[in-house]
Amino acid sequence: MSSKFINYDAILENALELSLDAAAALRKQIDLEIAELNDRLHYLAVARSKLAPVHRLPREILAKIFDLVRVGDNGRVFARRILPVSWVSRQWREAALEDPFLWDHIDRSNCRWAISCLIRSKNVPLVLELSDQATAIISLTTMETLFGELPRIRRLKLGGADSELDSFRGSYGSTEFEVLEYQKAIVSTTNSLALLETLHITGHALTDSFSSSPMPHLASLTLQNAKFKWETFRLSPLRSFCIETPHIKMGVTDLLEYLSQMPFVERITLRGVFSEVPSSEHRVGQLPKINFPKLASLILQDQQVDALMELLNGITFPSQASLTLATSISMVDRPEEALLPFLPIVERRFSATTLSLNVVAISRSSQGRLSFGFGQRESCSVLGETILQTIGPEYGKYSLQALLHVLSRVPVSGARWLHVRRFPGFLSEGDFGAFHEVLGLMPQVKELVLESYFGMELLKYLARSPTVVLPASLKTITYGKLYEPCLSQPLEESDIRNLALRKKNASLKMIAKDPELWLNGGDKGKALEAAFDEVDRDQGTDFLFFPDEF
Amino acid sequence: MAAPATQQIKIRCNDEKEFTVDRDVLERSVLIKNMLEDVTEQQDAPIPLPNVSGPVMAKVLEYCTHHRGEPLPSADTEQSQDETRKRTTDISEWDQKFITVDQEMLFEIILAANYLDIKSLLDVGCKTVANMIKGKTPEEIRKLFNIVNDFTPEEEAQIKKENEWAEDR
Repeated sequence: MSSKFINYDAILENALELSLDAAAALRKQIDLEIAELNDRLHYLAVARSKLAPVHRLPREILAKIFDLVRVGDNGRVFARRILPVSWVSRQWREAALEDPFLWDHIDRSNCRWAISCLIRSKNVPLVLELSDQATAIISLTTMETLFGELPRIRRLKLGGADSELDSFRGSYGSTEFEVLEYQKAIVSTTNSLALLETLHITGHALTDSFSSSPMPHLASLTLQNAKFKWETFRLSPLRSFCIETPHIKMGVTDLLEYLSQMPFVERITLRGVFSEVPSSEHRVGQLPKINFPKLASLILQDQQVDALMELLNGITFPSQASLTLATSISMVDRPEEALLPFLPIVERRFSATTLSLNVVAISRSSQGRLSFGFGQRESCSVLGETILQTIGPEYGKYSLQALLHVLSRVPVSGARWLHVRRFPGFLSEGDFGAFHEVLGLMPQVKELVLESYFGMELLKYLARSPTVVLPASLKTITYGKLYEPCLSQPLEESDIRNLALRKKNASLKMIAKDPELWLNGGDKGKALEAAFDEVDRDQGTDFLFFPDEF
Repeated sequence: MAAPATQQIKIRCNDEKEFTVDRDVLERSVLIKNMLEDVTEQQDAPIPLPNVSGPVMAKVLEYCTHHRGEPLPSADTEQSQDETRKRTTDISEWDQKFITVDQEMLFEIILAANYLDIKSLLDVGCKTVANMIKGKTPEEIRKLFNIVNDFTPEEEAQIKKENEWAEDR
């Protein structure tokens, strides 16, 4: 030990001879020394830490990294991820607090969080999202403070489920919660919305004063289940326009007039806008067609198929744009019949990048791959890929018949990708056979994607039925979203071997939604995994097991 | 008139290490590109890069060579904060392999990319660090980067309070 430290050995040899007071004094002296050494150790650790490679990063780069920490896989910003980062060290805290852009996303999860963001964001443009469900009530005072900042909000999202509003109403003892919280706040603002780029309102009534506020930078407008007056809106040249089930209904001609104000729009989504067969039918035909040269996505979903047809007749747009036409199965006994009028449009627009008809959907990808879908919502069609998904329990076994009916009307021989999701109709041999027939219509199909319990049943059928012939082109069978019911009667090891024999040089991907569930699913799950390994080894195939999130 | 793409340029690092590199590879660096545009006559003297060492420059050049010919990000895309532009922290497979280096080299690459103004490389480096941080507690982050908690007790108390209101839902 270095000589600069006091050596207590000699004193401690005779420790028992020390008086109580002397021993206490010595203890105190040693404690003092320990404290000093601890301070010194901490000082040295901090000094050493400052020489760590990470400390060489300047603040602006740290801030850039912190900003990326907030970004989720889908591009969404998770604002509060900045907090643990700001608790690491003084240097990191200063870097986080000094950059106002790291505090520009505000939600209503917590009053103190919201107010802190307001302060820390200084004067930079804000994103205000008051639509998280499962979050706490924010106080009226905080809400008013937030709305006081409207002039610097660049993105405003207001919404909330009815049940959530009910709980708010209960908490405040008011039946007018929406009015109190949102409308009043919006109405009371006399501030301009000068920086607003995105406005997304769900389930609220917009006052005239709000909707008529100048929003010169507004590029994206989404109104879902909202109440508003069209005539009050001063629509700027929007790039994205989405109206879903508004509390007003309108005719095609009126809508076309509004659309004509946004000639450079890139995305239009209209769902449930028309209430009845348009009386303007004849007028539309007489109007010059409106051209949308930049339109990349057009989604039209309505019970009023005639209105959609009229709308389509009133506009033109690039042939590579994605077009989705849909009706709702809930109001129609035979949705595929309701959609049959669309088929001529499908045929006319054959070069569309992605053309989907929901419930019956047909799409064509940008690579010229033809695929088709059969589903309730467009979902995968945005990826330019195929959907063959939920037809809904209420529709039962009609689904396969309907599917075949549609397939007989449109060419699907070029389909490369087939996706089956939660298909409730696979309950009988007949249904399985019908699906086999569908596969037979697609001699170029490369990948079959199956999901959930019914996908598992289909996989068993493909493995076990002696009559099944898998298309020669089929290279990959992906089975995903493994749910618990699948574990009760999972694939047998022999199924895997059979599939391997039928599809040599193909790959079979098993993707469990919950890997833990799969891996801990008992002996069956483990035996299946072992079978995969064995088949890989014996057959020279590329059977893959992915215990990853699908 | 722009020089031909095959023109060779010499650079000298702060450890005297010199590299002779195709101009189009070097022009991934906006700093060097601007330097070269400012020089009207061909010079034989190497461009001094006093903030970058030889080993780090070798890595940077590996990146620039792989990505040569790709369009450089414009000022518009850099500034765009618009909602339609989805930001991600995804990194391409090649870039991931390239950036799998020890921490010291990782931070040196980031610093070099910042100095040389190579935005795409800076992005790859920052995304890599961000992905290392995501999902970790402050203590885990400290451990990962050898950072010591240097907050005073008063600052700790403030953070504890922040922690409470951040968790409170």
